[in-house]
Amino acid sequence: MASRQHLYLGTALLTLLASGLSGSQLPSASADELSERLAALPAKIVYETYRDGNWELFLVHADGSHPVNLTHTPDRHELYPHASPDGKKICFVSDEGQGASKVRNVYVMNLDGTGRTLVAANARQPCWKADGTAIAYLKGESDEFTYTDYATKGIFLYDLATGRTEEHPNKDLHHLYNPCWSPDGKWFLATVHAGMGLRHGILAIEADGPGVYNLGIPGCRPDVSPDGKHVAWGPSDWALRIGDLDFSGSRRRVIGARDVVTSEKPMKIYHVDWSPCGKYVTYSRGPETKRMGRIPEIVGVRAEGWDIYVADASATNRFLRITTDGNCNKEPDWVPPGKESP
Amino acid sequence: MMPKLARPGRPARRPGVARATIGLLVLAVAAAASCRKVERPAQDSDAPAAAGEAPRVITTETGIEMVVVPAGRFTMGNPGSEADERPVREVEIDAFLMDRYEMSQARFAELARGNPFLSASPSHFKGPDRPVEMISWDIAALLCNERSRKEGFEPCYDEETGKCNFQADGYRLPTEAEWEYACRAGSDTEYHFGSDARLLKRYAWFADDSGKTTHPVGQKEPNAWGLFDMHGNVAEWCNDFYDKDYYGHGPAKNPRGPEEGNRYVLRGGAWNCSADACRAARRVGEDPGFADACFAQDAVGFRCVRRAPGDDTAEARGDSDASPPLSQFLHK
Repeated sequence: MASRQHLYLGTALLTLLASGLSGSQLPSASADELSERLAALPAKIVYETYRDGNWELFLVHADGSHPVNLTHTPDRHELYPHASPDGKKICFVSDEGQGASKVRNVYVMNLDGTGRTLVAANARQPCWKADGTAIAYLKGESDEFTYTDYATKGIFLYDLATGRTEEHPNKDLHHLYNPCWSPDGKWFLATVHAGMGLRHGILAIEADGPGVYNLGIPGCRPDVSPDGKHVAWGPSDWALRIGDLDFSGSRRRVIGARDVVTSEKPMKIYHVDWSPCGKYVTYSRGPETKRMGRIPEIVGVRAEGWDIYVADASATNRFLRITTDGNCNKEPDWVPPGKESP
Repeated sequence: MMPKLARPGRPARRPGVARATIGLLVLAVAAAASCRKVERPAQDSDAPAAAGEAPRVITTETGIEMVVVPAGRFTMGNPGSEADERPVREVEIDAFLMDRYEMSQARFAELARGNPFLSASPSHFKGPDRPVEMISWDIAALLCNERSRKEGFEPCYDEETGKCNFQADGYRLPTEAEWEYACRAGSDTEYHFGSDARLLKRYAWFADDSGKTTHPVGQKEPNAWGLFDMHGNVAEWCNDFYDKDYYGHGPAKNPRGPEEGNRYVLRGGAWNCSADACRAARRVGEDPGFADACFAQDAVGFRCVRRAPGDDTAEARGDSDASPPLSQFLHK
């Protein structure tokens, strides 16, 4: 019953929220229709949320119903979940320890929370290879704990079958954040900040070679669509954009970009992720804050008032708010419907 | 590494060092007498500077040189330039300490250590002696607090609201008036060395000589008070919210900017600025987070200030009518 109320409240708030957008407003009839479509989706969404002084991972249906706590670990924080391509496992980071001994580590576990396995210590921002055989992650730039997203050095590849780790052949990778692995396995897309000679940019990085290409689009946090043809990213605090990947020539680029969701101060939008069917994106949205250095979109930084949304990728500002408690709900990731492991 | 100059340098020309002499004498004594903890004069002698001489320099517990900027009056603004630089007005400033150099990347990394919200390496143009850049206003303010904690001072900034407590004795960003007063160093010209922009290359890294990058701090000539890179290299955050009309209604003593606002003041111009944008009176209002946390500007940095040692003056206490007791600046 609670989950249904959750859904209805989310739908009811939709029109109200849309009034704060610069794009087209979504009539309530459209909200109901989108809600019904999402309720029928087999895919779910996992996200980080702050409950009773602790970060946990929650799993919900695509319409926000049936929330389930996957972690129940009051002594450690779980964040930044990413579901495996077969929907059976989740990799994530865990902030453990206190003070000078605090560290962020990468783990993988089964979707039901069992089988928790350490992938790497002092590591962050893991993502899956499309065939589900490997997890890529970034190492911390130093041994000292930081919330700073770009404080990383190198890409590392963890083989789930052998438990072995290899560093990416390009040893100059530095200050990357939010990497994703293209479905064909040939590319990483990631943001770089104050590193590799660049002020800021979204890069295409060869998965097996030294090549690095600046896609020339403003913003951060790219995510490649399941068919490998499109990319979604945040061009600013106030928009999510999608475009077509054009890797046909010598110059890797993004063409045909358009906004899929827009917002206005003080409500930021971040953490876009494509649905397995490629028809929707999920993202988080919430207010900016005056707390110094506590940038709410950063992993592990509390973000009161932030919630999870799902938008129709074929439209602009056609979205549904699927959580409403504002419990620092961020970093949503689609969980594909279960199928046999490769 | 950072230059280790024993005395504040002097520019070849010293225009109009005039209106701050009383405060200068008082603060020179204060620096020698009231420095806290292990702060020590950077000069060879601990004798007070005489009237008309350059202000003294101290080295703080974390090893950063600061100039003892004397109390005084100056003419703020520029009558013949941008509208937000008018009306020009007489402004009175209490004494304060100001970093002699823009915050370098090495110093920033040292001070940021232990604070998980500060990155040790945020800059685009890497180099330990180059100024730190890609710094939002709140990160600059947060670093001020961290520096205060490391040196045992009371942090100035409320980290929940960003409000500055001017009565605290810790580090903060300079007010816009403090910045311009310190930059001018007694001058009333376009730049602290005069008004001939052709001479700017001697004092500043800007668009005409920077090679499109920052440069290690302290390589050009300083101003009359020994402050380096007040023009160019990186633009510097001030504590004040930006208000283009503020000069028309701000107080004449220690103006601190509007109570509220959406943008903060940047001063001094940068490596990518024209000579005009580096003028002493030139004002820029910038979004504190550059409109987006993802983005930052590699032409923006900062330097810190704090109350002069022993300055428990009426102004610091919030009593604007009383005068500072001279005895507090004397040797104990």
